[in-house]
Amino acid sequence: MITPIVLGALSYLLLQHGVLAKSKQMMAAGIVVLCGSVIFAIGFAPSTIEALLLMSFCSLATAGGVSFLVAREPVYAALGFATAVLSTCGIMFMQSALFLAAATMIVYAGATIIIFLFVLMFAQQTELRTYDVQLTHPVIAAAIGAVLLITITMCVTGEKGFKLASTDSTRPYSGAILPEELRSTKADDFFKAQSLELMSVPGTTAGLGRSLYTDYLIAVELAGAVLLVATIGAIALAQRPSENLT
Amino acid sequence: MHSLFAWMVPISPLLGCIACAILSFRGDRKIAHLPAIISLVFSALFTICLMVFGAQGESGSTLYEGYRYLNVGGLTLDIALKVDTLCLSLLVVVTSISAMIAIYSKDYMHDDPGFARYYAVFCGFVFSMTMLVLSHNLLMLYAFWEGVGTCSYLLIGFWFRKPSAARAATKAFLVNRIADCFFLFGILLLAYVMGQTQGVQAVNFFTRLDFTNIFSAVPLMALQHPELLTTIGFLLMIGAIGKSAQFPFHVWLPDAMEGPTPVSALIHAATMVTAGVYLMSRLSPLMAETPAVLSAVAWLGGITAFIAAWMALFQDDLKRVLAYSTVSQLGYLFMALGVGAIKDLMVVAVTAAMFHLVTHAFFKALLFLSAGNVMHAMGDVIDMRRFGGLRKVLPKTNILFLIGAAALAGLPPLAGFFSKDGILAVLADASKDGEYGTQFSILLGIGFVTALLTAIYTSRAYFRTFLGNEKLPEEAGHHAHEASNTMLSPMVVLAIGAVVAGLALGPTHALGNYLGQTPALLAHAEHHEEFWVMAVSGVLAIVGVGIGYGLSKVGPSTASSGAWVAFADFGRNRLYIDWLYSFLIVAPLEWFARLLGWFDTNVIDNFAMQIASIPRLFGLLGQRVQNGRLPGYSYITAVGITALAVWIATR
Amino acid sequence: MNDTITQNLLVFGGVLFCAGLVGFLSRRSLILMFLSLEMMLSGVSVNLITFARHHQNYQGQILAIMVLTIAACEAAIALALVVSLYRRKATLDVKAWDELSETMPPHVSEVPVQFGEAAMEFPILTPAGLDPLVRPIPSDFEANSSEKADQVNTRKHEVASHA
Repeated sequence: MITPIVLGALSYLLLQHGVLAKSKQMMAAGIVVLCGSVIFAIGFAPSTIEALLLMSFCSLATAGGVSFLVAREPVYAALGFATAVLSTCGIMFMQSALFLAAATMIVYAGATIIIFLFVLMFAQQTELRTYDVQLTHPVIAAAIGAVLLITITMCVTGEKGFKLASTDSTRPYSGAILPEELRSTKADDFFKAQSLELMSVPGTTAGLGRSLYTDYLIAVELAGAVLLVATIGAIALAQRPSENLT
Repeated sequence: MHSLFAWMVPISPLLGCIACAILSFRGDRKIAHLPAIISLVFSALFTICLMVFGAQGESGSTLYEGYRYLNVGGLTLDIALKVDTLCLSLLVVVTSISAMIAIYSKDYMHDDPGFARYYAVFCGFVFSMTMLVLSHNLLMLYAFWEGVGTCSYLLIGFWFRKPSAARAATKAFLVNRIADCFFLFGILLLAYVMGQTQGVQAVNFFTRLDFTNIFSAVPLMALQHPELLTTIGFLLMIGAIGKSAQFPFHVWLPDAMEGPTPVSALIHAATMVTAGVYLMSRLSPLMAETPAVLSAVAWLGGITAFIAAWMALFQDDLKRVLAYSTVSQLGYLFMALGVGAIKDLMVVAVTAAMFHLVTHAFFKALLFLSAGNVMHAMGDVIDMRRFGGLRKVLPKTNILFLIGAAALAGLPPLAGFFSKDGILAVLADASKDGEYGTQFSILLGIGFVTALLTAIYTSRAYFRTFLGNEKLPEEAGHHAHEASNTMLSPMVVLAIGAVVAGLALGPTHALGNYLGQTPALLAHAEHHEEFWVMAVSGVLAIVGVGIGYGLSKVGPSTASSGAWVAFADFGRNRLYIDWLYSFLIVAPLEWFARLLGWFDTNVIDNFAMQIASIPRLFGLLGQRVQNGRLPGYSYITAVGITALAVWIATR
Repeated sequence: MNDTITQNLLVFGGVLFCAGLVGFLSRRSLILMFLSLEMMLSGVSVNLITFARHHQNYQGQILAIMVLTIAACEAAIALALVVSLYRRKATLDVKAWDELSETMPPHVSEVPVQFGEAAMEFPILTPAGLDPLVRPIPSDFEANSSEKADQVNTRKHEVASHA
């Protein structure tokens, strides 16, 4: 698993340097290594469609993240970020978080990135500045990130990792199988039956909505309040300071 | 009745002191002389009443209880007054001369800003001195000994902004301090040995030092611990020597002339310096058992008398001449006391010493006050080279100084003649003794030579100041007039005393009989009148006056022979004793003090500052971390989170 | 939904989070720092979704909605702040905001105390009782001589008594 990644990284570097240095040999070498890595990766190709899709989404997100980290131009970094977020949406689709995927796409990849790009356009100078190009202590940052990642991996996988608990099906109005008494109520049978059926299928939006507005009503209200306050705050903070200071 | 009088004698100067101190704080210094003079005059009157009414009682010595100062566990210390004729004779001198000088200094110090402070310390001094004389306990005497020393320091350094005055005061106090250290050792050793002696009733430490207890224990101590008793005697003698400015400790008295002239008159002529003689007289029963100590006293007295006369011969400062003369006369007193080494002559010795003390107080105070008149008139110039022929300017002072100088030189029939003759007669008696005979005959010779020198320097001083061509220094200005009546009238009283006291007390044996009432001095041995001593001393005085007249004409630069030049040079430079002290003692101490100062600044302060810089170090460390930069903070946070995650994962 | 996919997705969430962390630590431009914050938040969302699917309930998804909401609010306010910071200093560099840091103060060594033979200098005070306006200090006044001061004082008192 490591080999294709290493070969992929090497090919990327060679290609980039080839582009920059206008060297045909480097470009050729880069393409060759890229093919090699692809061939290697195919050997590790997962069997099912689901796993393949998952792997490709993950790779795409990782590539977006890496390009976000190393891009020189800030707009390229924003684009890398957008790629990462969109791949995350794809993953969420696959995990039956349909509403959330859609919401992420709209809010994150839509609104948030657009705001960022607007501010970038507002505040960006014509040429690249030092603070765009230079990183502060990249080695230490990379070391910290690597240590954290290895720790997370060790936690999650392996014998030392935590044992995933079994599914918890006692939450009411969850997508789990409903308890018996709720299944056999008479009033609003049709509606309930429909909704029950809908709710019995895990991951539907209706079930999410139902859970949201019954279990987590207060959270919803609070979220609304936070949004309101954030709106007011953003408008107040972004105002131009007045000219006459008394 | 007697008790009231006895207590008012020290208490009234104390009240005067407090009143003057209050006035000095309030700033009303114009009337500060009133409480002082009134209290001192009352004190003198009460003393005279005590003497007239015979307050010493039939037994010769009465104890007037005061109050219990200290009552700790088994230790009790009482303040009480013991009155006997020895006390009273000195007390009359002290209080009357103090009252006279207080009246004198009203005019002398009238334009000084420290007028009230002067009178406050003056009265404090008289209080301490009277309590010293009247004390019944050796420890109480030591306490007031120190009090007298402190008041002397304050008065010598009265003009403390003058560096020489401050130095002189410190020198006086320190030299006295060294002597008082030994004195204290002596007292403590005495109390200890008394506790160790068998047969002495066991009393607590303080009460042991009552004079009556000491005197009753002395014979037992002489039997059981003779060497210790001799040591005690030496140590106590050193205390007396320090206060009375004898040979090794005399260096403070000439420098003490930096104080105001009335102070010199009171303290360093008549009263404080006689405290040492009083101590020796008081302890004469103890000293009688230690003849070695008394012979040392005699030798020291003789040496002091001679070298002080030598130094006085070559001084140019009138007050310094009088100061050295005081030292010399005190040497005489100690020589007289030393005769007590011969057991039979103890009483006679003490009598002669007290007689000379009384007369010396009168004429020396008179001389100092006259010098004060001269100084006042000459605008604070006292260097004899700068003025001369003042008999027209200061006629009355001329006469008074003449009386005092004649008394000092020992011209008959003034007081000094009789008292000095008394001492020389005692010495002549002692020289007949078998064991100490040669010693005292040498001392008799020294006494004669010193008498000659005394006459020489006294007359030289008189002739240079008052006779000759009139010459006034420019500081005199409008001051060059005779002193006011307030200043002259006390001097007249003293002059009367200087003239009369000799005749009144000496040949009539009045003082001898009076002193003989003291229990410790009961036996009054007859001593033969040695007419040849009287004649020799009279002749020496007249010869000395003539030589002095001749010397006053001759300037100091006509010295021809080498020996004479060396003699004069040594005399003028105070025999280099001061230089020796500063070389041997003062300079090493200053070097040591500098070393300690360096140590304190560089080592101890450094150490403290290093400790103080540790928090600063922590602050500097913290300064690096907290610098308001966001990347720094976020790194710290990220490292913390990662460490936390690693720790959780590896548990 | 087997454990492998869950584990892989959890690792993937961690990858996104770490990438965001590295970006936040090392970037110097304010906007890109905030962008990496958003990436961290999206990593957390992936984690939550994975757990929701694993436990077959909606808790994770709801929390992910909350995260999304809060991320949006935070982005709005953060960018408003970035805009006003940019207006202050006309730069997006985060290192420009370091006014709280102090340069090292120079080490001032204490002057050693002079002792020994050096003459101590005392302040020269006018003698008490003199008003410098009424009686100017005489030119030959010396602070060390108290006798002269006494004489000057005397003259003042004589003047006062005559007045």
